[in-house]
Amino acid sequence: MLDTAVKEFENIVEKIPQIGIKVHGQRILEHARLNLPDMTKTIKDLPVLDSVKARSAVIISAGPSVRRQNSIQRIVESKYKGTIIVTDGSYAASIKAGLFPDFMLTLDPHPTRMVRWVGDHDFEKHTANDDYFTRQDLNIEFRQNSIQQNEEHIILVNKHGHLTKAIVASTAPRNLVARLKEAKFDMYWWHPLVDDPYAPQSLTRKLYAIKKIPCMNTGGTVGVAAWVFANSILKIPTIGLVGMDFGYPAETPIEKTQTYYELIEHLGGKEELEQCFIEYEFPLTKEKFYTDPTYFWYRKNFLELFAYSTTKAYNCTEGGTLIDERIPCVTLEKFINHTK
Amino acid sequence: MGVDMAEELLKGNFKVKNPVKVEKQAKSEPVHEQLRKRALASLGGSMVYMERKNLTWDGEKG
Repeated sequence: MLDTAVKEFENIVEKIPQIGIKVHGQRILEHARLNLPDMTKTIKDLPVLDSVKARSAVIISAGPSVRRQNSIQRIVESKYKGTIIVTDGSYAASIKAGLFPDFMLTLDPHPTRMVRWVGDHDFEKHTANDDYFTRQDLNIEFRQNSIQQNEEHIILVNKHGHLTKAIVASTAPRNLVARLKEAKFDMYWWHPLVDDPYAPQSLTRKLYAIKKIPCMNTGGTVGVAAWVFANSILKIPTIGLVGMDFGYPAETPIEKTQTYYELIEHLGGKEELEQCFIEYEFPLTKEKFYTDPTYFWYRKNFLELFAYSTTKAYNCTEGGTLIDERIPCVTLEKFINHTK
Repeated sequence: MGVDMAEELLKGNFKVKNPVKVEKQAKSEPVHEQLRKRALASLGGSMVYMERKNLTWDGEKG
């Protein structure tokens, strides 16, 4: 049964990269060309971290466990002194809790969605007929598509943006870059390593031809890009991963998973659907979580990339499907105490 | 309301001065096509990655 399930997974996940290249290929090149005048500093220009910040980092992704485990508030209460790295999707939740990150990563080139994470001046236009934010797990307020909430984010981000260095992919949409500039983020640029730069017609090489700045692998998610940044650019030896779920709590109905309808379409019906969801038991709590093909693919990418890790990582998500002997699962408090 | 039904309702023993034009309603996109588009958008919804040998690359420097 498991073999069949894995084969079905592999059939589906094999097609994801080609879909992504097709969907994003022209868009990312266009965005990089438009962003060229703003690429004045790159991730090679980052100032050296002080000795405390250089010792350890916590990376906060936007998985459902962040909210379930109240992780951000617990980091604030711990008075953790190491480096705080957040993804764009967890930035607003962090500053609302009084946690002002050292770095915020952004990757996705979507032209209307990403700007919402930092407050969108064209909120009503961009949210019409788009349910993307209604499926977000971290910040429930994002689901409500509230105009008032968006206005609050604009004010809050404008007030605190200067405290955080934005690590911006060259492929970012212009409206996001405009907001980062408006909120006075200190911006440092990089290219996503989207394919083999030595292959003919490589998109990565085309990006590099626009501006010769460092490229980082991403595994397909901004959370993994944040880990690559901490490992390979900042070279922080001890890294705690928060909100890196790569899946859903067992109680989540499969109808609520992000690609439920797409899977039915792919399989031609519901008969084989259950094979597309693989269950895991989280070792610290024995709670059950499951993954769908898309998250399975992201998880697989991260674990393959992790083979090239030069630092030590701990999974402080306290849930999810990232279970691997190389990345010990520990509580957030245990990790923070370990770094003191 | 389709054209045929409109013509049927407008039948009478007099002629209107300005004939009523009823435009045909555009056919809605089949459900399977909507799903296919959602699949493309969702599965390819994040930046993809294919190179698995290095975490970073900076031209010929590595």
